[in-house]
Amino acid sequence: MIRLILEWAARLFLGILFVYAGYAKLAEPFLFEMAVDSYQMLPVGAVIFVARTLPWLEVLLGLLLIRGWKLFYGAGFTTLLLGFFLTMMGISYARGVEATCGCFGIGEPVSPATLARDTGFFLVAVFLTVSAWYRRKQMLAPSGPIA
Amino acid sequence: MLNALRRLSLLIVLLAAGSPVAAQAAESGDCLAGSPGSPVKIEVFSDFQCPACRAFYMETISRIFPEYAETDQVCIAYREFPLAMHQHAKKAARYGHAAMRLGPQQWRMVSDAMFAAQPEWAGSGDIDPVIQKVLSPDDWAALQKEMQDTAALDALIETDFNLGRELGVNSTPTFFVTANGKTEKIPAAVRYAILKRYLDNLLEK
Repeated sequence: MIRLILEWAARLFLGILFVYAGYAKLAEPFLFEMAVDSYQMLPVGAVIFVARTLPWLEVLLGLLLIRGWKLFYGAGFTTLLLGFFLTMMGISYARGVEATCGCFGIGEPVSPATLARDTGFFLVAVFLTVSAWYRRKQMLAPSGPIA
Repeated sequence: MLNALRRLSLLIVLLAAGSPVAAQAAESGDCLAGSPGSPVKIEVFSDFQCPACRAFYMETISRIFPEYAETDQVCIAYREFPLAMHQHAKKAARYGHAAMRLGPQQWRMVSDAMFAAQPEWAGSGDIDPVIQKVLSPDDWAALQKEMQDTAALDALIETDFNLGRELGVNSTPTFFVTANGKTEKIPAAVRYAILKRYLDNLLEK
């Protein structure tokens, strides 16, 4: 029961977070291009492509999580995406690149605080994925011998 | 024909007056290129010893100067934000302010030279020959005179630094873009092609 309540809370939290993050980027697409560029990892064309597609993906994932449809896949993909963000931020920080996080718009440099916050989001997503996987496994398991 | 005559008379007036615009001293926050009436203002908090500031100045801002500032579409202002981790940044910032006092043109020459030769002086702090190479003897002498006023230059640096802190600057380069009554803070170096897209979008509005 507690696991289900936690799963519900994690699903709504991450869902709203992703919709908000995507919306903030869609509202200022040129600023988000600058945020992606600040990581100094992609050529200009790829920066523009990522900046223009990622916010829609975030909104879609957020809506999937809020709705709870195909939760295992939605949560799994969210975990992978957050893990990817965290890795990129970690690499930039370790390289000493003055990147802006771009997480909820622009203006926030990558710092230990942003890394800690995103690690927290990642752990919530991991919990949600494991919980959804466990529930899915229980549902798929045979309920008992048929007489 | 009338326009051509007007331009010619303006040119004559400027030449007769010894082009006072070019010789006018600039202060922190003033447009070093572009006019104060430009629709977009870029204000950069920068450190002459920071490698990211060097890349941002040399690859991005130096292209914004001719493309946008000299056509009065963008005003570019620079503020000193020397980080404590950079041993010679304060001395370089003093040179920056001293050059600003001589005029925007001199500031550009000094900044170009300091950023270009950053790897050479960052270790030794030997900035003087780098600047002396690019200035005329008169400007070099005037700059040396300005540099003697250490207390005043340090006060200007402190004003810039405190303003940066108030505005939430904690890394360099951080720049603020003001347009259409709105200011955005960008705490990173970005490439020219990407900043150009943003500026073009702002100028279209």
